[in-house]
Amino acid sequence: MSRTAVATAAVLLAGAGAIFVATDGFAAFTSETARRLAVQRAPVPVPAVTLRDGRGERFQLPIGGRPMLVEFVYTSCPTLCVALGQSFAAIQDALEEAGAAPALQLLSVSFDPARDDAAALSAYAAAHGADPRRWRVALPEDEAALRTLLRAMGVVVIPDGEGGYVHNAALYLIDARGRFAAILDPDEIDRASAELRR
Amino acid sequence: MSRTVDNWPGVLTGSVAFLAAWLVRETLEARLVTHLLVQFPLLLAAGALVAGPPCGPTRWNRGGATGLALAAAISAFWMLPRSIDASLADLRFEAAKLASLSIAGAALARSLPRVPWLARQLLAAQTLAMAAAMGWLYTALPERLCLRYLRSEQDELGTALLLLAVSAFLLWLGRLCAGGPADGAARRRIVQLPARGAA
Repeated sequence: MSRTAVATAAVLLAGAGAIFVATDGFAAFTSETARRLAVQRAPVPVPAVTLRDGRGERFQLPIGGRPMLVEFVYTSCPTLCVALGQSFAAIQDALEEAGAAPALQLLSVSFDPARDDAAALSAYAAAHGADPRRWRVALPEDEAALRTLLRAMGVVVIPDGEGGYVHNAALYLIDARGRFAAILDPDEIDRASAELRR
Repeated sequence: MSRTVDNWPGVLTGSVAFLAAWLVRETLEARLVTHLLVQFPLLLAAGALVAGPPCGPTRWNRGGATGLALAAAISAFWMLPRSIDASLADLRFEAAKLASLSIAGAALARSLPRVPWLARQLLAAQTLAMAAAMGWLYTALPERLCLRYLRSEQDELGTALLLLAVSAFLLWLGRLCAGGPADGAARRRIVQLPARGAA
């Protein structure tokens, strides 16, 4: 075999190997898929973060003892966050229909502290029929807490150039042990309510 | 005289191109289309200019095969949406991208002139078809591939890739019909260094 053939084969093998490693075995070509696979394979502890809801009540994440779903929104969002709110409303209804005991298991976190004051958070909760016993709409207490939470969940928020934001459309499952354990699509209502009833 | 000194204009302009790709990276990476269609080619050009044309025969890169494989592997890696995101989020990935794409450019410069004429035409057709397919994919896929870029920027990149692929295809076809450069012409571009001991 010529030296060129050996060198070419070695280069191609090394290249394929690098791509194999970089895509988790040709399974994740985008960051979003990679994140989903990573948390499914190895759940990560959710950092302790203090939030304040629209009624001014402070509480801390993670809330151990029961599973919880988190979504990230900004209340002036006309599209994606409305759909996320509708998902939570449907999951809330499913939990009620299943007779699940009322407990805080749904959390909408705003990443827009500049515009989302207490009134805006309350208006978003009211617009989607949030039952405060099950579902809260809140804002991390400060910028550092917000950044910590976004980083831990792998949420990327970028300006859309029209005064709004583009962000991941997903539901983040925190298990009963306070670990970030899965990412669900907003339309996975049945799976989401089943996970919360575990 | 050493080869590097012989190629000082290439080393100089290549270094300037590399510095430009590095120093204005925030501007170039602000949009997906400039990230992939300005910064990437700038880095490839930087490597190609510094490396200069191939010199003399080689046993490790006959027909330019090894160099082409290296350039293809590096380019494929950095075309992954996940790698593009990582280069924006992690400085180590950014450094790896700047270095490896320059190396890919150098590998291309040292290899393309060695590729036989027919193989070069097939390679061009393949590259253009890939660019067109990627362009179509970027515009057709409903989801955002890169978390750090807008969906509309994907459209922009897809359209630009399609336009580039079609224009380059027409140019390539025109040259082919007009009787492209003969194999010998490409071979003449390989710099023949003076034998050792020569003046």
